Parts: sequence; C-alpha cells; structure tokens
Amino acid sequence: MSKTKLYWTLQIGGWFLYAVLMVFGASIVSDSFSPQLATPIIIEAIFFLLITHLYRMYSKQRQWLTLKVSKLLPRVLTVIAIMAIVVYFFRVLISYISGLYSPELLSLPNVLGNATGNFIVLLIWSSIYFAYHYFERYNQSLKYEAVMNEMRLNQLKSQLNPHFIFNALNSIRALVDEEPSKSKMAINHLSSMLRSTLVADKKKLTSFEEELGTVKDYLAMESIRFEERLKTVFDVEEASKNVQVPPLMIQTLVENAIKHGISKLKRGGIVSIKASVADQKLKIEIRNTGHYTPKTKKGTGGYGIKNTRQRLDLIYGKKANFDIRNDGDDMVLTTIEIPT
Amino acid sequence: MKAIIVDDERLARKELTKLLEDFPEIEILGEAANADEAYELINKLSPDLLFLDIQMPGKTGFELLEMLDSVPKVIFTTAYDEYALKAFEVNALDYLLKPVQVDRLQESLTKLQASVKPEETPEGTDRKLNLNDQVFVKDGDKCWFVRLADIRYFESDGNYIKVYFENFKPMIHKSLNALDEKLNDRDFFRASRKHIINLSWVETIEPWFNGGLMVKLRGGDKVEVSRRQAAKFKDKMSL
Repeated sequence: MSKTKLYWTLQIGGWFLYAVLMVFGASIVSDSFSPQLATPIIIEAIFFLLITHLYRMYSKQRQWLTLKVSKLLPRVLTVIAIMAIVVYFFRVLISYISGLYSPELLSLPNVLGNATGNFIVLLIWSSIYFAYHYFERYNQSLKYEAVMNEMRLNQLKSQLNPHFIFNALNSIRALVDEEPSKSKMAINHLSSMLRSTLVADKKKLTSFEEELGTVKDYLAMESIRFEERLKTVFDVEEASKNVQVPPLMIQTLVENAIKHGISKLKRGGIVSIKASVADQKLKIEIRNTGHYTPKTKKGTGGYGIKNTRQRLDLIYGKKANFDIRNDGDDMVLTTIEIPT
Repeated sequence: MKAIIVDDERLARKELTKLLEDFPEIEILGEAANADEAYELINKLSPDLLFLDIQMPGKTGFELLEMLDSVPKVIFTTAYDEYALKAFEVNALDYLLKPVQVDRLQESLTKLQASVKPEETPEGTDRKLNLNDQVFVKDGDKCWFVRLADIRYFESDGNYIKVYFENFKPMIHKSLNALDEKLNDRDFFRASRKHIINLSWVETIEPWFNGGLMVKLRGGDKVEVSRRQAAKFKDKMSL
C-alpha cells in the first residue's frame, strides 16, 4: 500500500470510527437515538478530518518531521490547543445553525471542558502520526546502515579483490626487471587505490574528482596488466568535478566493465568514462566493449548492480537514475544520474 | 623437460620465464596467450609440461585441457581461483599462486620429476596413446587427470563416452570411433560398437551367446565382446 493510500485509509477510517463511538456514547447517555443527535457529531467528525488534514499539510510544509522531539513537542501542543478551541467553536456554530444554541455553551467551564476533550483527541491523532513517521525514519536509517555495511564488506572484499591484487603484484614483479620506473609508478597507483578504499567506508559522499582519481589509479593498474588490450578514454566536464558522489560507486562499475567486458575478450577493448552536468544533474556514462546479459529475468542484474541501485535509492530516493544496457553490437553502456 | 607457458598476460608469461631461467632442466618451447593458440602449439610441439592459467579470455584453461586427446603434465598458475581449484581431487593437481615464489616452484618441479616415468615410446606428433598417457576429464564441477592405465573401459553413450576408472564414470564429449583411432591397439581393444576395454584389466574370458565372449575385468565389471570381434580378440590374447 502506498503511503498516501495508507494515510487516507487511516484518516477516514479513524474519524469514521470516532463518529460511530461518539454517536453510540451520546445515545447511551440520552437513552435514545435520533438523527438530530447524530448529525452534529458526524459533522464535527468531518470537520476534525479536514482540520487534521490541514494540520498535516502545515506540519509537512514546515518540515516538522525533521525536528527533534524536544523542538517538535511544544509546536505540536500549541497548534493542537488552538485547533481544539477552533473545533469547539465550530461545534457551537453548528448548534446555533441547528437551533440548539444556548448561551451556556460559551461559559468558561464548558469551553475549557470541551476543548480539553478535543485536545486529547488531537493529541492521540498526533501521537499516532508522528510516532509512525519516527519509526519509518528509524527503519529507513537502519536499512541504509544495513546496506552500507553490506556494501563496505563487499567493497573491501572486491576492492581488495584478491584476483586483482595478486595479478597486479605479479605484473609489478615482472616490471621491476623490464621497466623499473614504471614499476614504481605502478606501486604508487596501487597504494593510492588501497588508501582510497580504506578511507571510503568512513564517508557517505566524496567529490567526483576524488572518485575519478581512484578510477584512474585502478585503470592504470589494469592497463599495466592488460597492456594493449585495454584502452581508456576520459571525457570529463570541469563542472562535474565538484559534485558529490557516493565513494567507490563508479569505481565498482568500472571494475565490472573490466571483469565482465575486457578481461573476457582476446583482443580486449575500450573503457570510456564521460561526465557532464545538465539540469542540476551529474550524468556519468561508462562504456565498455563487451555484451551485457542480465543474470535474472527481471533484468536486475548481478550483485554489483543491485547494490548500486539500492545505494542510490537510499541516498537520493527517486532523484537518481541508474541504467545498464547494450549499446550497439559490442558495447555496454552504464549510466548514472545524480542530483548536484 | 619441454614446457609451454599459457597465460593471457604478457608480463605474467615473462615473469614465469624469468623464474624458470634458474631451472635448466625446463626448456621453454613456446608461449601462448589463449586456449586456441595453446591448442595448436601443444599439438605441434607436444610438450611434457604446461604452465597453465585458468582464467583467460575465450576458453578457460580447463576447456583447453578438455580439447586435448592426451594432456601433458600440468602446473596451474593462478592469482586466486579457489573455486576452480576445489574442483580437483586432493593431490590430483599442482598449482602455483602468482606472484610465484621460487621455492614453491622448486618444490613443484621436484615433485613433477619424481612422478615422470622414463618414456619407452618414441615421441611423435601422431603417435598413439599408451597406458602412460593421461587424459583430462571434467564432469560438471569435478575434474580429474586420469592415466589411461587406470581406465578399465570406455562405453559409448549417445554423443558421449563414459570413462570407467576407480569409482567414477564421468562423461567426455567424444565419439568412440575417434577415440579408438587414438588409442594404441596393444593396450586397448574395441570389444563392440559400444565398448573399448583396457586389456591390462582383463581377468577372465568366457564364451557367450552367438559366438561372442564375456570378458570379466578386475574389479568385477563385465563387458561383452561381439561375435565379429571375438576372433580378433582370441588372436590377440593368445599371443
């Protein structure tokens, strides 16, 4: 059930139940039932429904859900106190219209007593509403934590991807004889890559420039290994460099491009990375030689892809996009869009 | 020993060549960057030993071995392939982890040389397979290097051949006729359309219906020799 649907179900259902109970209670007290008795109560319930809906819109607009409890509480109490009195005067108005008005209705004890009753009803409404949202947010952050933990673990595993590390070390070993200066550079690439992996799990976001640095280190290492079989192309707009991105996300996708693309091809291929900013979105396109076959029928892909989707979803909600598909006969295009 | 290095990375091949310089008993005949190149090179040069990477573009190291009629000794070289290596029975293979350490290499080569028996048959590109040759068999997730001497008999099953050895009977994708041509007829005998038996496993022979024979092998398997082949078989066994 969508949240809006859930809200309206509870809102209408709740106030309907309220009306039924009140009519029932009033019938018992007066020992009789009549439409004259029920009508004002039902009208009042509808008014409650409308005013609490306005209240919800107001609290949303003021972003009360982001407030701490200590700041939220006084605001809620003030607003529902005012609402309680408004509801009571509305009721007096109805009594007046239906000819049941008596000056006694405006006496202080009557006003206070009835307003207090309304106040309690609205307090219950608020408790349910805010408690639900607090739980929801708590849940969401737990989910985020869980995914992040899983991510970190996998990142650590895949970053310190033993296959990659040992192959890299083996290449470096061979380079020591062949081209000592290149072997030194390779050690630098490898160490700065390892360093960014270690730092990455402490940060939620990093600048695209920094991420790109890691990607370049990684590709430099793989270029040593694959030699002429790997060609890399970068096309990065200056404006994209300061955009914040989730660390190691692009790196993971580039690693996939190597693992599932280049390393499977005898003649190798190209990995190209293009970044541009438009409409307040950073668009990153990774192209690699190869062919994409989704692992599952739903097309959700393997672990890395699922993880990337989840991560984007948790950080940006619907504002980010992720897509992977074949581009022509022998290229795979992976696209990420992130709000700037 | 004559060896071939198979690895898709030039630097990895170079590094291994360099390490092997200290082992004059190993002569490197050539290098291949993928399974297809290696296949041709092996058939051309018939090396005694392969240094073989498992993950390569195109066909894997295992797929290369499956293509070969007879496989040389193999030392796998891999950066990290714990799953692939688990496919083997214990002791069934030797592997080196990259970057290769000299003493590990030394150990492998020593072990290898101890296991090599002096070759009686002359080497040639189209020589027939004898009991000392080994084949590579992969069935599902499991892999074996099997010496022909350990195989009791082959049984054709559609497009496949069942290979009977020890407690296993994995399938290989080959025709019995093609296999028959490769095997030398001193050690192996085509008993019928369905079977080739290893003569060194024969225990008893009994007459059977229609002028055929029933051969009992050590271990208890029974294989029928067809009437057409029976005379040939008697000839052979009486020698």
